[in-house]
Amino acid sequence: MIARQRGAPDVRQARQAMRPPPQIRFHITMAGQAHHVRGALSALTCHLRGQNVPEPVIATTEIVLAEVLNNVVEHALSGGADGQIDLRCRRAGSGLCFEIRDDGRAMPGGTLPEGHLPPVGDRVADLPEGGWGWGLVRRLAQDPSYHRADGRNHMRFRIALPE
Amino acid sequence: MNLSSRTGHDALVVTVNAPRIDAAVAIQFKDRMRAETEQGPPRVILDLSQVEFVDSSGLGAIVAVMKQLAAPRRMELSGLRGNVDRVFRLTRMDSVFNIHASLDDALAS
Repeated sequence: MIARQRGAPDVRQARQAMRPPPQIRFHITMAGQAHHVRGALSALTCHLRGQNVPEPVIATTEIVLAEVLNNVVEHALSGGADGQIDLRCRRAGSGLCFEIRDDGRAMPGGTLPEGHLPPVGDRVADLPEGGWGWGLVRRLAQDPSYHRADGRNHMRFRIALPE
Repeated sequence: MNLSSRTGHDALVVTVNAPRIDAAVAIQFKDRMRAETEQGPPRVILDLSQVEFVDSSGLGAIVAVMKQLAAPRRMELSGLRGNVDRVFRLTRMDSVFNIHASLDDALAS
């Protein structure tokens, strides 16, 4: 009983100390190439870790952002060295908000792909070698949205933080 | 991309000595794996225990390597860590590969 009385405030303080602070703000601009995406992801995950964002949230963020950014590199910018990608992350309410802007080609049809996963058949020779990106994004990110403005692509999504 | 391989009595074990198989190294990984698996026993085990992150490009490269192996050769995986295991499950590619918790488990099976 005594131990519980003594322990309770410590646990509360520990939880408060572990909670990510509201002032998370991160901004990076990268050239549109895969190794720059890797560097940006490394900088972002390092920042989130330093702000006590829980590891599962960081892991989800890394999967989603890798797919979104690689899609920009491969499709909107086609791996060209002169394309720029802008990544912003901030804390808003109970989640992390992400905004990705690039000056590449518009998304075909002006909307985000639905993200159906490629079917898995029985034959090894028919297995898919890609096409999972938007399926992963749709399953792991909240409220993904896209619009084109000022000749740029703008994509947003949220990743929830635990209460 | 640092890979190392060794051949046991019935299996070729290829270990990925890198933390990521992603879009930046997917093509290099495929080329290096093709060279490593050109010859050897029918059983190929890809040890991913040092890999922390695989994106869809990396996953596609792993599938492509498996497809390149001529039957009856088949690739198995071992040591999938948290986020890597998650990507395999989310894409249902966990149902395609024979996956072992560790390399020791794979060699004992």
